Amino acid sequence: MPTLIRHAGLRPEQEQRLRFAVAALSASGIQASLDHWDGTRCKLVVVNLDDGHGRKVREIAQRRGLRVVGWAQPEGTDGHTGNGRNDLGVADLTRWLESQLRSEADVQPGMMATSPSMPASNSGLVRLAQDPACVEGDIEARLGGRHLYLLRSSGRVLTSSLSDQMAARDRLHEAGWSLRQATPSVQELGTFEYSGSLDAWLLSAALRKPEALPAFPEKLCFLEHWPDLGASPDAIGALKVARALGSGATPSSIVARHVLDPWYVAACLWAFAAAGLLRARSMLPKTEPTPEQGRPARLLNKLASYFGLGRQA
Amino acid sequence: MDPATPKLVLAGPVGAGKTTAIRSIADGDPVSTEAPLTVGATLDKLTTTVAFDFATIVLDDGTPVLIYGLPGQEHFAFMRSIVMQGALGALILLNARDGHLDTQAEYWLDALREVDPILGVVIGITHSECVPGFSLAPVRALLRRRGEPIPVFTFDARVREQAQHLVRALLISVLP
Repeated sequence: MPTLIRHAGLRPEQEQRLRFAVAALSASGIQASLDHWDGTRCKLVVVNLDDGHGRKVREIAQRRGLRVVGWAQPEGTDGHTGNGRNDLGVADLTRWLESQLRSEADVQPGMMATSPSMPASNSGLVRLAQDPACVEGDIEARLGGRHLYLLRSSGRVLTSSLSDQMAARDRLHEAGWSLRQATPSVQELGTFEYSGSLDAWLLSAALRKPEALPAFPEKLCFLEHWPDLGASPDAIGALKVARALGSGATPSSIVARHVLDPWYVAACLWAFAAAGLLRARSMLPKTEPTPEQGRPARLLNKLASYFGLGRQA
Repeated sequence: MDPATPKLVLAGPVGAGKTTAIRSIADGDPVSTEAPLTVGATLDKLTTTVAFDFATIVLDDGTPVLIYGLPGQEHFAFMRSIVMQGALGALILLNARDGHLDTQAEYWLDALREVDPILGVVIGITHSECVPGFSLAPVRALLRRRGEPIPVFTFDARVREQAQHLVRALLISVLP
């Protein structure tokens, strides 16, 4: 009986490439068949992580204990224009599928399978949120040739150029970052002249590869301040997460109340924690947000819909 | 001016970007009451608003929502209580290049609260990328002292999506 592989949310060219790769598995002695996800049991599910349906299927498959592999937009891709490097070729895809199908011990069913490019949970972003050595204060960060300052004290990220800032953002999910508490010297301030919102930068980094992040710990959290998300107009869901955290919430309660994807909420929480804005239960806010009173709620809701607040992100 | 017509209000000092933001938020070109600056003109600000800016957005069901930009000059302060009648919320815009953002934020918060103590408010700061050493800390500290956890965003008023995002932050912070 052939090995059953299902797929969800793939673009036509991805599906075609996957079909060729599945057919090529026969050369390695693996007889496999490929079909759309239909909810039935299978050996492997391949999903497009850049597609809403693909992400939904991933959740379902994981809950059922099925092995899932994610196909996300490759690094170096501009999410707005779609320009980027070439995706996996058929030969590489075939080899990768073979390794996934043969390796029962590497991945427990229900977990996301990792590709060689999938970073570990000691990524730069997670360390900024958890590592006691860099969880507070201003941080000097280095990876390869990238050098930047993450100034939690002022809410800014400093680099020597815009391209440096974007490149560093695209690699924050990787391990190997050098992070230490430091502020730029007066001389360096002249070099690191490109300044942007730290909160928006961290959120953008988190949302570029949310599958690379571990689940956020289930605990009651508060936001000390609203994050500066002015430069993240695409991240509408992040506003909802921030609003929920204003009065305290757990990750699961945010997911349930606002009907947001768990991976999206986790990405927001990791970003806010890395920015130094998230506080645990022991540090209660002095006041809680006061809901608008005496305003026509129906009109406010219509206005919210007009400005796209009905969308998740 | 019909006080029953719902409206959003933009407040802040001269040069903060209120006129630009209204242009970004509204459905069409705003009615602008601008005149050339005789004193203090710069390369990117040659005019100033001499009364108030006015624009309209039309919701999906045809309901008009008016957008007013309060003039920043102090001698127009008398207009605030008139313009703010029926306001659903307010956006305070500040220019990072002016400095003393906490003092300015406090002034405008007090001015708005004097008219409407429970009005929903957000703060938008323009030109932050132009100020070496810019920091959000003073404004955040002010809001903490006042017990007002309102959104503070740095943004570009010329970018439609960012200006609209500031409005979203206002709405989501006041929706029950």
